[in-house]
Amino acid sequence: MNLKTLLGLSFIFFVALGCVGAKFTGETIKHKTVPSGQISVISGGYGKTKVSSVNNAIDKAFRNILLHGIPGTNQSTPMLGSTAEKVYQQNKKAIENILSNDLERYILDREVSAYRFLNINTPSTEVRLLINLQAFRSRLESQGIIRKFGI
Amino acid sequence: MRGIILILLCVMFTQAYSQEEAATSPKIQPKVMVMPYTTAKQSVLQEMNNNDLVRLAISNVKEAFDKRNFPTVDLNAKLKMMQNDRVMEIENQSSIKQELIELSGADIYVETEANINRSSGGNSVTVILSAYDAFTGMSMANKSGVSPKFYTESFEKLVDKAVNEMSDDFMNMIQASFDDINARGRMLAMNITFSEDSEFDMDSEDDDLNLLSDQIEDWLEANSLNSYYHIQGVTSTKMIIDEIRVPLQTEDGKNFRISKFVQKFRKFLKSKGMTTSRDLQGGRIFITIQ
Repeated sequence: MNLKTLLGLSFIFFVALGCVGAKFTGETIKHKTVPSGQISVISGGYGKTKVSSVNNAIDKAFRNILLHGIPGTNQSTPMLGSTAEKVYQQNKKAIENILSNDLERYILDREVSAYRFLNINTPSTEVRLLINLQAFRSRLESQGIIRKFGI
Repeated sequence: MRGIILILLCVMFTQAYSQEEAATSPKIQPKVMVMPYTTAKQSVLQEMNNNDLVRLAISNVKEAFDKRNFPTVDLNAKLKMMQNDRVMEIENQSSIKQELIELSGADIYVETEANINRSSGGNSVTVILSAYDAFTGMSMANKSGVSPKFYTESFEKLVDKAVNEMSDDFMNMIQASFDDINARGRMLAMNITFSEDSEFDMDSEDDDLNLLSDQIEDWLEANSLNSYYHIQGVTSTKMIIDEIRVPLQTEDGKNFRISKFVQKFRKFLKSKGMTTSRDLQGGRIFITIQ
């Protein structure tokens, strides 16, 4: 194998690798329709290691559920209500504590599709998550972050 | 001296306790009733007895409320409570429906509709859920959902699937309406009419040439939450206010009583030399000026 062939093959390899990396969008979107009380999402994550990027994807998924809702799912509106940002600021400490330490117990299933780090501005992984929405909501209710159903 | 200190401590403790108690008064929750959607000619009773799909959909929606620990008014029990002969007496089906809503004491009713869709690609079911404020008729939440298509005649399963997929979002919409009530107050509706032999009407003027309708409007502006009210219409013999916002709780943390609001309004009319009678149905107020 001469040098030209080697360079050509390397070029093709890197181009192919670049294409693979571009498939992650970094968004949090609906994955599939699931029964009431659950939510299934695909979430992109950023990070230099596999663990950190998966954790980032999970964190982003829960933040989106809390602050924005995921269109077409069982939680299409923000879980924190119509004044989500205000509720978040008022309960920032408690919410951040849940997001940092306690998300695992609300994840019913997860599937990491792939991991590849290109740079910090490009998502390096994508995780499919099945989340126990009802239990997560109950936790927020029990801590007084959101009101129980009713007035 | 010791006695005086003891009495003072007792008074302070009692005051602190009563303040704390008032501050923690639980808010009175609205009552919700799930019922079938009926047209003016359809009977609620018949729809409940004959339409299995709607009955199942209603059961599923009630289950969604139960999951959020929010009990609902049982429609069947209320239908039984209404004397059958009384139901038969009223020929107009929409009157029965209205009476059912009024007698149930429900503040919110959820209408449930389920329709079968047949096609060569399979059968599906469309479910439509609509929640209304029982007293003002204001829409609180609407959601429609279609089950996936299957080559099946088991429509019950399709209804189950359709409701299951939409119930969470529907409940979130109702909660958003509840949040709105918390922020902007609860809604009341008021009808003001005159008895046949009354010497007053809405065009009656006081010494400063203010019309009675204008004086009532000034009172509403001063006594509604954030001056929020909406007058649907005024004639010389009638005023319909389809929305008045009042707080859920008083400043000292007690639940706001509609009867007190009515009492205050009647006192205002009395100060203008008018005698009144009133009827109260949940959040709907009827005032008749004698």
